[in-house]
Amino acid sequence: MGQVTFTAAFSGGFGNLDISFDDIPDELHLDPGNTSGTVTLPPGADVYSVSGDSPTGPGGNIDLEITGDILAPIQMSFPPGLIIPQDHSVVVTI
Amino acid sequence: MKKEFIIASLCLLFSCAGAYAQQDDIKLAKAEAEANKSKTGQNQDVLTNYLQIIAKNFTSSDKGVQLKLNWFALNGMDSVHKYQFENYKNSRWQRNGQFSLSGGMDDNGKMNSVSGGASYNILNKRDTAFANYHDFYQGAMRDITAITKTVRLSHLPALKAQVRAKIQAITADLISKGSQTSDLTTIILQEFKNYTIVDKQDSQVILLVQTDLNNDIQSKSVSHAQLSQRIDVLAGLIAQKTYNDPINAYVSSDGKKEPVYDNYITKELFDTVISEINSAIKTDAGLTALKLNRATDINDFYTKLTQRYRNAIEYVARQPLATIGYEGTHGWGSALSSHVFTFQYLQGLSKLGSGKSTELTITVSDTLSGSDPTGMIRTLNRNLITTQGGINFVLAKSKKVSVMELNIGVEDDIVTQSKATGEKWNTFMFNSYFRVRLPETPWLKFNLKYDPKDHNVLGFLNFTYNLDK
Repeated sequence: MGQVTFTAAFSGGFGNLDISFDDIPDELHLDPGNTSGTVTLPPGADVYSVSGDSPTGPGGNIDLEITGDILAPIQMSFPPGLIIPQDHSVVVTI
Repeated sequence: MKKEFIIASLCLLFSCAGAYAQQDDIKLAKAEAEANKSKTGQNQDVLTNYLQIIAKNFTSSDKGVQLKLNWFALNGMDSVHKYQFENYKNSRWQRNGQFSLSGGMDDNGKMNSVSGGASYNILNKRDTAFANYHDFYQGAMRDITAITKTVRLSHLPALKAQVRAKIQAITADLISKGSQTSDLTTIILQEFKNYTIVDKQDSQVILLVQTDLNNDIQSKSVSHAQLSQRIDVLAGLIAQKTYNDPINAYVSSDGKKEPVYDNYITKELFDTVISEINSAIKTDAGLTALKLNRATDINDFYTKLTQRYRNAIEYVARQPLATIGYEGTHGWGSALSSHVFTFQYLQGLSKLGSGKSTELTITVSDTLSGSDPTGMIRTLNRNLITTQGGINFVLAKSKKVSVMELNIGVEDDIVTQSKATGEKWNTFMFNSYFRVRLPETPWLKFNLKYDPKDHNVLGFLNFTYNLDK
């Protein structure tokens, strides 16, 4: 099992990110008051889903970085507005 | 002279707009434009987003040009840092204030007054950027995420097995031929049409498989244990992305973008997946409670959910806004000097979910000025209290942005001290204005005042440009 950390940087106001996983029941909720969360995932390719809302103010954006026991860091960016659930993969190495 | 005045106003307007446009990048401008979609022209008159330029009363004798600048526009921090959450939050007090600078002109085109002022929001409940909209969508998001996960988990194992079998066949063929490869990526991409290399992890997984494969070929290994493990990881990644990416694209494009159908994502499989998701939406208990089970399909579901989210933003944008302000004017010739203290209050009247932006507007101002209209006696002895109340209606929107508004209201002017010759102590008027624009263009505002007692009609035409940055 590997430790995987999701870290979000918010700009242009308040926003939310909800992250859920196919292989574990844990869910992460990130917002400007809670910008980071860590989960333990099985090795191999794991599916995670991201949804939420990115700040609508000027420069509104959320940058999400995924680090930890994974093959390579992943960066994602979410422009202003509602973030419709999108399903992605992360390769856990331990 | 009127023509020259208008040309001068336009030159000032576009030179300022150009200068500011060069400062920030276009991406930021688009982001703020999203936030400002819900703002009415009435709202921007009370508190400008960034910079506002007004050519006032340019068809009457007391014409002028006014520049309004939000305090935040003077924030010296660079564009990237000033919008970061903490910095942006800490500068809220700046965004609640604005400065104004005006120049007045007489009929001969000569400048006859200068004005300067400031205003500040003492109550601002309509800051859409700092509202938390999570509760408006989270229940539905959680349910749709669970639905898509359930459908995915029912199809993904078989897809992964199919992908793994193909990769094993490819590697077995290379092993049997003793052919090392330096371009497994191309072989993989040719086989799996819906798999794209986006993250570094994609190329790294393939590289690991390629390295193990070449090592096994070189060493003539027969176990291939590590290679099998790597292939399993690669097969999982390719299967997941082959399944997820087309659905992500299909939903993001509102159902317009279909996958590149191949041996793995067949049309039959894709249609089955979408059909299963659509069916689950109609029967899900949580979505039924939220009345989102009425969506015809997943795209309609997201359209409805996005509309609820926008409704929440627009509802916040209609919350109370109260502003106090001061403007001092130094006039010469026939232009009078004055001190004006103003209180303005805006309150939306439409409920959550309403597409209307009807708004109550109240303005109370106290003007201390001279009482001699010739300007010969310049003592500041006249005091006028003006009370205006009205209802602002948005008559038309284009791409969710207000482009036509009508404000119907009344005005009562009470001179409490030293009325001018011929002036009444108390004047009641119907005071309405109509404003219109094309998207991304300045407002044209026509103000009409009617005194029912003396049947006097006054008309003013303003030209307002808002720079939303």
